[in-house]
Amino acid sequence: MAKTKAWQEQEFPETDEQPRRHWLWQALTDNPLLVQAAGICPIAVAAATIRGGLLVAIITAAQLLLCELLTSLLLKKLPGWLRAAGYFAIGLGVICGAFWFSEALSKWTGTDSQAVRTVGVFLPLLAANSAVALRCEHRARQLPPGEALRDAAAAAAGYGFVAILIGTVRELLGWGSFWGRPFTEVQVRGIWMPFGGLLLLGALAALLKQVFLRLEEKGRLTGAAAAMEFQIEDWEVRRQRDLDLLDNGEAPSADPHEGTFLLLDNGMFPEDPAQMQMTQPLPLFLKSWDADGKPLASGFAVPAPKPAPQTKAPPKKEPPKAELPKKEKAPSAGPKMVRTAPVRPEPVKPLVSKQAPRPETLPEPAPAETEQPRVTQETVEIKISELMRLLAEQEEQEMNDPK
Amino acid sequence: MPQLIERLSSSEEARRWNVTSLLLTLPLLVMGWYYYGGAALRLAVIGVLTAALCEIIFGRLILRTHTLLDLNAIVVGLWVALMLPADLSPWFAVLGTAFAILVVKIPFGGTLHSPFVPAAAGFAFLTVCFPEPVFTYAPPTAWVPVHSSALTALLQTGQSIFRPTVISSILLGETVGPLGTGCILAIAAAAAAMVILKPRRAGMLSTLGFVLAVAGISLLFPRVPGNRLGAMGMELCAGSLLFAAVYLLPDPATLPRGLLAKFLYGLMAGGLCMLLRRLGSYQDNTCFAILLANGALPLLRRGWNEKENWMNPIKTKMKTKSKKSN
Repeated sequence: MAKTKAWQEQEFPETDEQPRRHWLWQALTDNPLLVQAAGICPIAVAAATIRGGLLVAIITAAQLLLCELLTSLLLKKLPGWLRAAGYFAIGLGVICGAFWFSEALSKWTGTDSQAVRTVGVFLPLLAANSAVALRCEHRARQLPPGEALRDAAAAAAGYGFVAILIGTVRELLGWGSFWGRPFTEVQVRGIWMPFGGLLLLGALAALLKQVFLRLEEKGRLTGAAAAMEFQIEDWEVRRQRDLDLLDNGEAPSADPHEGTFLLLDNGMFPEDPAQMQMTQPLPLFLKSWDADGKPLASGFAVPAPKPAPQTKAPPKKEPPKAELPKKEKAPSAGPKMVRTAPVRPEPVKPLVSKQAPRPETLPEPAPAETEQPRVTQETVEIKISELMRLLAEQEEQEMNDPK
Repeated sequence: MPQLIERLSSSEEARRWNVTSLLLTLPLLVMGWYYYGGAALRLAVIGVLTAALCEIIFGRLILRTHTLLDLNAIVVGLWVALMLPADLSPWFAVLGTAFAILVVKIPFGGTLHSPFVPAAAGFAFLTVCFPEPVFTYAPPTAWVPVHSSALTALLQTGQSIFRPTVISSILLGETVGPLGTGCILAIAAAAAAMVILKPRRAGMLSTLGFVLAVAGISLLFPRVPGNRLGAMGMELCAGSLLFAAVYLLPDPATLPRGLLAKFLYGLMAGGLCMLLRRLGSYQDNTCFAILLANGALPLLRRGWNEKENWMNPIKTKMKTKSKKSN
């Protein structure tokens, strides 16, 4: 799917602004795992028991605190590639410290460290934790040392909470034990596998998003749900993406699995037909339906051979305009979920029908009086003749310019 | 600004699709009941009821609506049950069906929105969590099977039983295996019906590609030494392979558009299936192959300039129309 520049820029913003919240609340709204979708691999693989989750949480917390503080003080002055090496070096130092501490503790207690054995080879891999690098790049670089420490504490708390929670659930359901002690006979083998960890992460992220959405409905929170990286695109998101592409004068995808044949209901065309000048020709599938949503006719748009004379439209009463939700720049970029209500347009004659012959002249535009729409949504006035003329020009260009 | 952009599929089309699938699946259930008795029906009923309950309850909770009336949940529950052993505890059918509906279907938007085939995902989940019970098949009650082991187990050990004298028995499903996927004749009849039915016809291209890939690879690299045709026959008749190829693979939500794309998609899934059968640790990896193919499809689309390819038939139509008008 073609992406606009604006879309690409949104994926990797240079700055990452966040409203200031209490650091514990920020542990949820700015959670590295559930919101930013970073550092998933160690959780999916290593946090299969409570001990494993606790170990991952402690090591990641140490990495976050050290890395963000040093980034805020020193590393931000270095070039990007050297900063990344710095994060890795700090991570290695933390891991080596963890191993040394584990061995010392084992000698002192006389027992093997079960947590280290459980995590296994993924403990050294924690040195390259993407959650730490992402946090430092997007936050610590722009924050003073005190704020960077505060942010690190919030991230560590959020990460650790999720790691321990997932480790607990996986040990209970997968092994039937709690802290190594048998608890139940039920053992679902797949839960302690990596895919079980990923499933639990997804379920937790969905649950958190539902909480955010409910709080946003009550007005107690703004932007938290939209900031989440875990998004399941549905056709509404694809639609919005295609509308964004139209705004930038690019052709939306015409593959229904990607979201769109461009359907125009009841002759509602863009206010500025120049938006329809695509970089590549797009066959327009026109469909019209009545106020109850029943389809009237459909067919591919065929440009008229001659531009039709402009008919004087009867005086129209401007329907109430409802604004689409404003596109806020998300702190962590990603596809945005836009919830728009379905349209209930007024009935008009279909423009093109599969069965009906192509009309010589364009049909009359929509009647002036419109009933109050059931739901509030933006409505625009149309210029059918200009659109058909543009389509004809496009077709001519395409035929004259063989690829 | 265009007011509405919607998918071409509608709930009415989905309902028609699922009704057809249900009708074409019923013969397999009847054969399963004939072979295994009341236990087969019990498993199927429990799977269907679980799917319906999950759809109603969690569809309302998550999607704010349920789509039970399009019968997709019923079909998913039935298909999961048909791939399980007949004497398996009903809890497995409950777990597998609940996973299919709650994890794979509803969170992605319901019918015709899921990027993976729910029934395949449910069976794959059961395979990963409980591999021993899922592949421990009970002998049928109606007759003596051709062999005491399932075809999938025989292929793993390199044994061949595919002789002219037992071909008819294998085609009739007189083998140890899943509840409803053993009767090859019934599956072939369903495939023929789908070829006849116009809306389902194009989906059979993926089935054809799948079967050709499995047949070709099994001929070239037989797991049963010394008998290539027998190996091919056993691979095609073993486990849930043909059932998955005919019923699961042509799922409209995951099938690519374009005739060539459908065929190549089936080829890819068949190749993955044979690869997993050789290298995998489970007896039957068909559902994993389908899931992998589902997951790989968006990547293939992007790398293949899919917009031009998918749109070619429609662009040609547009050019023809505009040429005629000029």
